[in-house]
Amino acid sequence: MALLPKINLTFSYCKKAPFPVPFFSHFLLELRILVQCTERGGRMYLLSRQPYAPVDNHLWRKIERGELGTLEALQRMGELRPGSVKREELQRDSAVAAAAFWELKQLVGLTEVKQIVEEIKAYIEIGQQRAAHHLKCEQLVLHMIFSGNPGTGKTTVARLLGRLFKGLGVLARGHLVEVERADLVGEYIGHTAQKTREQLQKAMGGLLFVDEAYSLGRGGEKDFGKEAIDVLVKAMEDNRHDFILILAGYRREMAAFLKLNPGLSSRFPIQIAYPDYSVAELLEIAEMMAQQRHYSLSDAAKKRLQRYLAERKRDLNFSNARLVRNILEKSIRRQALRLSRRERLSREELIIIEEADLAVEEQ
Amino acid sequence: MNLSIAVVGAARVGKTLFCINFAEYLGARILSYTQSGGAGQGRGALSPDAARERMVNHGRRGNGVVRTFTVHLPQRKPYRRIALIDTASLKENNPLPRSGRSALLLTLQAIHSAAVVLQMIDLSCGDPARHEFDDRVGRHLADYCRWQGKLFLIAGSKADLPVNSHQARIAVSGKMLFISSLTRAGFSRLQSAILGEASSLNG
Repeated sequence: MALLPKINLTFSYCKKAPFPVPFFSHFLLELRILVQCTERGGRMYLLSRQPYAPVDNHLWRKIERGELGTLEALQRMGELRPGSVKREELQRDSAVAAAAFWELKQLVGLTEVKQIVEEIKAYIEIGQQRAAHHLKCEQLVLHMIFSGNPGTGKTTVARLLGRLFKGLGVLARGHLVEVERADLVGEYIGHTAQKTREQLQKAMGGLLFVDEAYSLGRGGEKDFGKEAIDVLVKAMEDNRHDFILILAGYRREMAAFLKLNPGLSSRFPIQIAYPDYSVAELLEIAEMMAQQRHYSLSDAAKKRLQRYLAERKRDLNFSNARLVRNILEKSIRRQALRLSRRERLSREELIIIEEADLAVEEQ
Repeated sequence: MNLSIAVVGAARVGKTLFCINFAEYLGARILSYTQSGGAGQGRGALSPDAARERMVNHGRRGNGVVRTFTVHLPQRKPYRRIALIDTASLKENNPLPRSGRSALLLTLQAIHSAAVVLQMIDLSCGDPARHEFDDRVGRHLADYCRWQGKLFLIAGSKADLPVNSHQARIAVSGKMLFISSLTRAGFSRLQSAILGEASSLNG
């Protein structure tokens, strides 16, 4: 049977066209000439109806522009997580999360820290299971304040948290950007905002760790530190799930800093106090550090170190595990010097750090 | 409840013939469909015979059309309606020509909208480049479906022809079911795999 052409004029409405519309940004007035064909065995109606959802995704646009080939497009789709284009890089890796959590558990002391991190980890894991059952699960705001004396493990824990959150699929990269006042505060008007934004950009997908954060509040109203705080606070709100801000500093100074900036404290739902280590804990840390380096402290060396740490603990500038690490590293060098004067050395002699090697006098 | 199945694969793997024959196998006497890409957008209804005659492409190249066949399953559980999306052929060329880009876009959108992704590979094909392409497509699709919570299946088509052993060993993380779109061998197992597993996905 011959084709029977019939011409229809239709106007179709399209909120977001899948291609650039030169004259109408939101409304596409589309004129189509439709040909209705009738043949034996079946009918075919050509209609201007889009069977799929309108294109509003950056990925679709790239494909349309020919920037992605078939395999690249499929690969990008494989990286896509439901619901959010911004979170397309997020991938869970339970092995990374388990390793980071195990390392955290191995840290000496820090009971409160471990407890809080375990709670966060459990919340995230249960949240993922709830999401699988289509139950509501609010994403936690994870900005934190770490307060504690030097050497109490603030930076170590922050690094582990980065890996843990990456493994749990909370952060895309999980890297730690460590900054201090000089990295954020500029020298002239407008410079501070620019420097702070640069650091924030570096930290996207990871953690921004501001060490000695209280120093941003020093210098009064005219100091540029306040501007840095304002930029950080804005970024915390705007990109609350794209990075985690950790403000760290000594306990007293941080308490004073938060008092001076009312409203700041409430923006940090997780505030962790890092207590000073006890002498027993510091000794345990020393033994662990030595073991990691394939050394061992003799009993006499341990006793000497214990006495020394008990004495130094009263100092105001006592630096906890950092002091222990410095002592150990110096002691290792001293042991090497002592052994270098001898000819034959046993395996045990190469391992043991004696009391005489212990560098506790000048510390 | 409705179920949509995106049938994807390279050119001349038997996607269209599979969709028509599987729809008929599921009980469709008239195939209602919508289509986009290629000559334009449209919808219509055809008998399976007419659909086979007109839609199955015997040329070497794909036609860039994405069609959705809707099969109504009255009185059947768990699904009342199944949409079989016959996607445009996936091509390896990079960069793709303009027509290829719009076909790829439609295909990926179809995959995105479907609950089940069925990749078809030609078991009789002896081209190593094609095996490698199918393999990579399969890996990316498997990854995508894993994150999106979709069911991903692989159907080794043209099982009625002598099977190329290399293609049968394709290393993709899905389930391989051997079918023949022409003889309809393996359709029963495919049906139970799709309907059974898809309903378990829906809880």
